[in-house]
Amino acid sequence: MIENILKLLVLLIFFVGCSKPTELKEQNFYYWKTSYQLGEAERNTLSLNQTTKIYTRLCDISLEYDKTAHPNNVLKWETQPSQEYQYIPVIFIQNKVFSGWDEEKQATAIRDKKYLDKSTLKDLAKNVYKLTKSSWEYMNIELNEVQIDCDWTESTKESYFYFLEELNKECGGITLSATIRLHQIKYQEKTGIPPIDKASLMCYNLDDMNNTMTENSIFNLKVIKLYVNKKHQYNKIPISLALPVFQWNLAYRDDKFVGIVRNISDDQLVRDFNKLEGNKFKVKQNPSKYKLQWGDIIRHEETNEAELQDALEYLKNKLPYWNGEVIYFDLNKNVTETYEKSILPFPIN
Amino acid sequence: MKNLFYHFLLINILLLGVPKDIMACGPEMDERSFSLFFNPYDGGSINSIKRNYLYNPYHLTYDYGGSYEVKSEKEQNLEEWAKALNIENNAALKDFVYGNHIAYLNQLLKAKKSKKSFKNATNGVHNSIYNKLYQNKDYLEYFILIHDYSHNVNSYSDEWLYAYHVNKADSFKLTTNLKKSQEIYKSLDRKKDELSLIFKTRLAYHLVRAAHFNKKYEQANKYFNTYAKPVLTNVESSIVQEWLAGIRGGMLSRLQRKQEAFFWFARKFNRGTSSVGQAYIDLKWLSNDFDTKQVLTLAKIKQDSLDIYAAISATSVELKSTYLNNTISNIDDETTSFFMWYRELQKVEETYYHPMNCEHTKYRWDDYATYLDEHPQDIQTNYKAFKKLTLKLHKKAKLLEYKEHYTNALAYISLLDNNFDKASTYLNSNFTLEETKNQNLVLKLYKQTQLNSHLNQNQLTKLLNLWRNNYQGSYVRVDVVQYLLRDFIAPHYYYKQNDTLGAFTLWGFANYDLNQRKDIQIATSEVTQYFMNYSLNTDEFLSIKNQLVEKRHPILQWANNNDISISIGGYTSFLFYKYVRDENWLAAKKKVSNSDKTYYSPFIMHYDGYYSPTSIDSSRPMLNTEEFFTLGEELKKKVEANPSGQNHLNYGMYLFSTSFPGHNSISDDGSLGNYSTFNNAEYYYYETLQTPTYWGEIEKSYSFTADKDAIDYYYCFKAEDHLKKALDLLEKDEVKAMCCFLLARCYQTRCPEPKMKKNESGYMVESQTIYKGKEYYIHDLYQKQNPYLGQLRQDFSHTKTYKEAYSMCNNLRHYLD
Repeated sequence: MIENILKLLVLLIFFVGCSKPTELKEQNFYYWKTSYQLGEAERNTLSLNQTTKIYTRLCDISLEYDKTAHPNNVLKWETQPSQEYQYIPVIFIQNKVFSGWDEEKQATAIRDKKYLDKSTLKDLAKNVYKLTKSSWEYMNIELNEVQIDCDWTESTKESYFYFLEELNKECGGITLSATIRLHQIKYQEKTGIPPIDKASLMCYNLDDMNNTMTENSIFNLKVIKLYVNKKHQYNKIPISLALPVFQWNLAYRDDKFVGIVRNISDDQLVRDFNKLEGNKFKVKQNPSKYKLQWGDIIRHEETNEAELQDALEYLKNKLPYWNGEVIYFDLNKNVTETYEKSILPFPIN
Repeated sequence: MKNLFYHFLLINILLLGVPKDIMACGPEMDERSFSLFFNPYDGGSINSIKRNYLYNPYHLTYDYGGSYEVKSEKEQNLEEWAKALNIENNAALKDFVYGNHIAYLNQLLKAKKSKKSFKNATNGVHNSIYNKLYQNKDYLEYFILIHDYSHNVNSYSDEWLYAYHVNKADSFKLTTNLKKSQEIYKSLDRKKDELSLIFKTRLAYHLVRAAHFNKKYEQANKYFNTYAKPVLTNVESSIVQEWLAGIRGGMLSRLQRKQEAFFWFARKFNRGTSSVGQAYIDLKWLSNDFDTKQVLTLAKIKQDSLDIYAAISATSVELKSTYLNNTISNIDDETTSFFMWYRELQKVEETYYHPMNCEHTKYRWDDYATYLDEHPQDIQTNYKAFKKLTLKLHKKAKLLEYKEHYTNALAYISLLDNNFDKASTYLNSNFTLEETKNQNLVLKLYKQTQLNSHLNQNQLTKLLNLWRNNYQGSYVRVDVVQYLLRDFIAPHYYYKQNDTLGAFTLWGFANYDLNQRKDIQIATSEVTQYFMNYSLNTDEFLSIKNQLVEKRHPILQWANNNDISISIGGYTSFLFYKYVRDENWLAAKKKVSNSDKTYYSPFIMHYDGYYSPTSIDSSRPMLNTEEFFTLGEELKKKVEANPSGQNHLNYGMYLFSTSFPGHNSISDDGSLGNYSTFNNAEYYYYETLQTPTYWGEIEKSYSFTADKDAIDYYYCFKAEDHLKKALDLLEKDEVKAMCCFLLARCYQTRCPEPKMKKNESGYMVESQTIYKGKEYYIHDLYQKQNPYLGQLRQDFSHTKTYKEAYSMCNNLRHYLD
């Protein structure tokens, strides 16, 4: 009997190990602004990528002065949502919500393995669902999925997971998904696997932006490989891949990070900056236009199609439960300028 | 002193009077520092509300720069309720006005209608409030309607409902509420007492805002004409009148009657108190749509035109001195004209004075900046008009306060026109205001500088007392005294006279407002930091420390007498860096004995661009501070005892690892102390150093001589010395190639700063050097001429080391190819 089970197990492992990876099926987007308004450029991007789902940031939930959770920056709809797309609300929750503000209490809680009281978490789950449901009802949008974005840690996992369980009860038949970070994949024994129906693996903001030595803090396959260095079943939860399509310029003064400069066009980069090695530039003129000072160095960071393709090829072999969906962060008018066709090619049938 | 204008005067006097080598004001200044000269958040005699709306070149379109606190709308509203009901303004009132008390109010209303006495009707909650309201059922009805609107009609109470965030009203509940409100209004209209009028006015506002905020603009307009117009009075009389003016502007704007909207917003802006901010934002938006001067035709009375003039001025970023000069005779109100003139002064500062005195100052981010670049004559014309305007206002001023300000302004203008005699005439006036008196003190000190006469102890004590008195609540503006100490007295009378301790102490003082604390750490002054870190050697630094402890200076004695304690601040960190530079590894080790910092092996070669730690570094055992500094001492002793090639290489690599940026570099090691942030190797190379300007304060650049040990250490001269000897003494080509590569790295750290030049657009850009017919930026050329790179290619290109370096280092390929 045991022998048979072992044989079956070996066969299963062989089968899973050798099965052909899933191919790219969907290219969707995150919409991360506080008001929803699609311009022609954004619509064009959605069309080029045959997008069907827009993961729309609904609100941020943070701890406030009264040490309880409150919704902030709730999405305003400036234009009507389109019938062409499925809208999935994404709620960002500060990790602090699950640990509290009081550091002393937090430390004690971790030591004693006592976490936030369950009724608070239950209420939070009810409230999050109430806000989500009322928001989508307000705009007459069908609610098929709710996504939670929280960078939980070992110390908050108990509270967070309990919250997710309660939210799942509230959601009924609606899919509950959550974002996961690379460290949560790699250290899943410590950080746990959340009780969700679907996960979205965030493959951006990977490296230390404060460090002048970092090549590209947004995206670096080398960093992904450090974290996803073997096959991960991840409780067989279907995983979508969240990949970056944004760009920014990080400014450094005397080797110290001083901020993000977003408003530099390619023309301005050539005109007002001297190119240094790699993706670094030094102010040549007009520093104050960009709120910079003489001598400041900026690092222009972006991700090209080839890098995204390489990452996809790598990850689809490491994540057997990748569901074929890529979600780009984020939908903005520059995407069409940067990527003239669909960002990644769909496989030819 | 309370007027920023005197800062301008003071600083500009200083700029004119102090030699350039000390008070350099040139390309090294960050132009944004100059925005602090403008400091738009302050405007002297302008009241704190208006001071928020002075000119700010960095918030042109979307924001007002104000930071002066004004009473909140909520506070003012509660004050007015307390006054109207003749009750105490306390927490109970606040709870009543902003809470939800519909149920209890309904209970009282029912009792009132059944003619019960107040005593029988109440349960004692908020007794004094309800007692007043119980006089008249309409008063009770008013609050029921208001609470109903806030808590039921708009679903405001639950932030976890989406409607809460979009302000959506329940239309049935809204209609019911509005209908009832009209009934109560009519009922109140029949009463003639003062309290009923207050309720009626508030109900009028409620009707208008309920319609307006629910996007029923036509209805809001109708309600305004029907209900609000009869109760309109001066904007300054009540917060409700401010709200009415604002809501009127809002609805007219929505109805595309934009000039009228501007008129109403101007009224609220110029005469309002707590709710001026929103009016300013509304005016700013509207001012983009048409020529705001057209609105003057809507003015019916003098006050209307004053409101509009103030709004025109506050929303304008263009130079308007000529316009003001032509219209000032119409502005028959000194407060308004002073506000307008002051904003104009700020624009003159930005466009005329600062470009005249310093480079990089005329920076704005709008199209108008481009226009001014193309029309420099406009700046000159405006300046002339501004002088005429100031003369006119000076002549016309009746109030002493404004007369004195204009007099000072004329002195300021004269000084900047290099007409010292005329300036003295103005400043010798018999001033009465505190700030003008202090201004005379500044002028006297300035004259002394011209005559090169010494500062006597009395004068110093007077100044120090001015600084101290601020702490004691005296009416002296501390930042002006801080400017004096930091940018005038310290450099001129102490630094220039080689009294370093005196200068350090005053710079330290100037960084403090004694309101905050009386224990002063002088190294919080950036200038003092730089001197202590870069210029003083170890002995000099310890000597300063001892003098401070022993209070061997008149300033220190004065501080002691005034209970002010003085220390360096960051003493251990300073000393640590100095010991490192002295290669006194054991002493350095003691200073960081409690640190849990770890170090990479100094013997790992890196061929990447930055010498940054890699996985190879991390895979080797890390050294703790004890091990790392003991290793330094051992290597140093070894090479002293046996100066072999290998020992030179080992110690050279150790020094290189700690001084070249990246890897184990001590200079950018933030874990070693708070002061590592300014322990920046960039400054070591230059024998003559200049302190940077300090963002957040006006702190000029000072030049001083750098400590030689610092230069030698951080620019890898010490490492180079050992590595050169290793190159000579070692025999194997592979290891010689390694020495050569490291030497090239040492050389690389000393690239000179590029020379700047103005390009055709007037911007400062790096100038290029022609070398062998090609143009190079200085960094490029310097690397190209790096002798060690040349040697590496010529003598060692056959080695594995060379090939490895070539394959890994983009930089190397770039310069060797």
